[in-house]
Amino acid sequence: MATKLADILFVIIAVAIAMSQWFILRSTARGMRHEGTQRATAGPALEWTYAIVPAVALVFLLLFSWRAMHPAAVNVQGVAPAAGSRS
Amino acid sequence: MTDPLVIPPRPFAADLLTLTKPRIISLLLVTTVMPMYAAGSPDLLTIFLVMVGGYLMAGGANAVNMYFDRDIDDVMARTRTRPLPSGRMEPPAVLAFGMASATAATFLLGRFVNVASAALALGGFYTYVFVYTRWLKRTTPQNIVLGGAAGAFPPLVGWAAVTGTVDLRGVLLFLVVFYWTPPHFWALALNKQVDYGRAGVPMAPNVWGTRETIDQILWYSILLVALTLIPVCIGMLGLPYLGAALVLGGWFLRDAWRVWRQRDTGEWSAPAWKLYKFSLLYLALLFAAMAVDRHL
Repeated sequence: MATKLADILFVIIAVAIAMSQWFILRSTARGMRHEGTQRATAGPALEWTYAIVPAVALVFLLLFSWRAMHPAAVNVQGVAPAAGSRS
Repeated sequence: MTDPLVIPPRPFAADLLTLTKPRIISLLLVTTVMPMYAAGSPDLLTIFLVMVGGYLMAGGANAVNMYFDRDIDDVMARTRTRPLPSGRMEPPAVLAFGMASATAATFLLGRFVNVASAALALGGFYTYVFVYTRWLKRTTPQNIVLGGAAGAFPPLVGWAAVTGTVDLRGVLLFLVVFYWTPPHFWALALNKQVDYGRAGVPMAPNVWGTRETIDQILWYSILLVALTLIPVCIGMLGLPYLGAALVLGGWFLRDAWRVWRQRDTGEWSAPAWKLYKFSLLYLALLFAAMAVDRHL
């Protein structure tokens, strides 16, 4: 795929992921206030940790994916490109 | 206490097979073997060894899970006929079978495939048994979000079996299964709320309510479909895969949308079942598309 097209697709993906993750966190907050038929025994702090860890992982994924897409730009800054990407 | 249940005797071998949850493992094996083809051109012997090792490891994890969950399996309709709650097997025997199976898998993969695949498979075993079953399952409605990592190890195992390492591409495959798990499992949990409530497992629909769960099914589905397109951006996979990911993802989103549309009417049961069933096919076909793309 041409670099420019890949960049456009990547931006769309990043926006979709960020937006989805935002709504997931918002829904989790609402869910924690909900009086369900059962209750979680993990405390609110732990519940938030469980919700935020995957979001942080996604930030790193997007960062490393961008680096893999632009190895030359990263090389200029003295960082090795991700190995084995097919382009 | 539940009503007495009359269960006809079954052959011992059939009970051992039941402990491994073969139907679940069949999908895990697809997500193990297809990444091997996406990573390179594995020989048939390696594929066979990875499949046997993968089955033994996942089967061992499932048996140990049944050992730890034998108290709640007895009160859930869909698990009451399993070997332990029905009294056909003793708990120590089930635990020993599970541990032996995992040990055999570790040896097989470590000795005849490579250490990386053995270590990752063992990582999946411990994640399932300790992180999911013992830690998260009974304490948080996000049990299958983080616990879903256990089911996401197979693609890493397959990838490492061929490449001998884990890189961004392997991690991407891991994350695809990781983010597939919430919409898949919550679509099932929506229809099993009574069962989970009786067993005291705090699944999202029982704790957050069906509305929030259905909301999250939709957002996780969008996130999943977006994530499946990243391999194309980084040059790992090409246009044939992109086409398959868009068609399959579109179908997945349509089914998730149909559940979401009914979140206030209470008519979400049938669409949720449909989403659950399609999600199984979705994952298998998506991973098959990865393998096909690399060999076109």
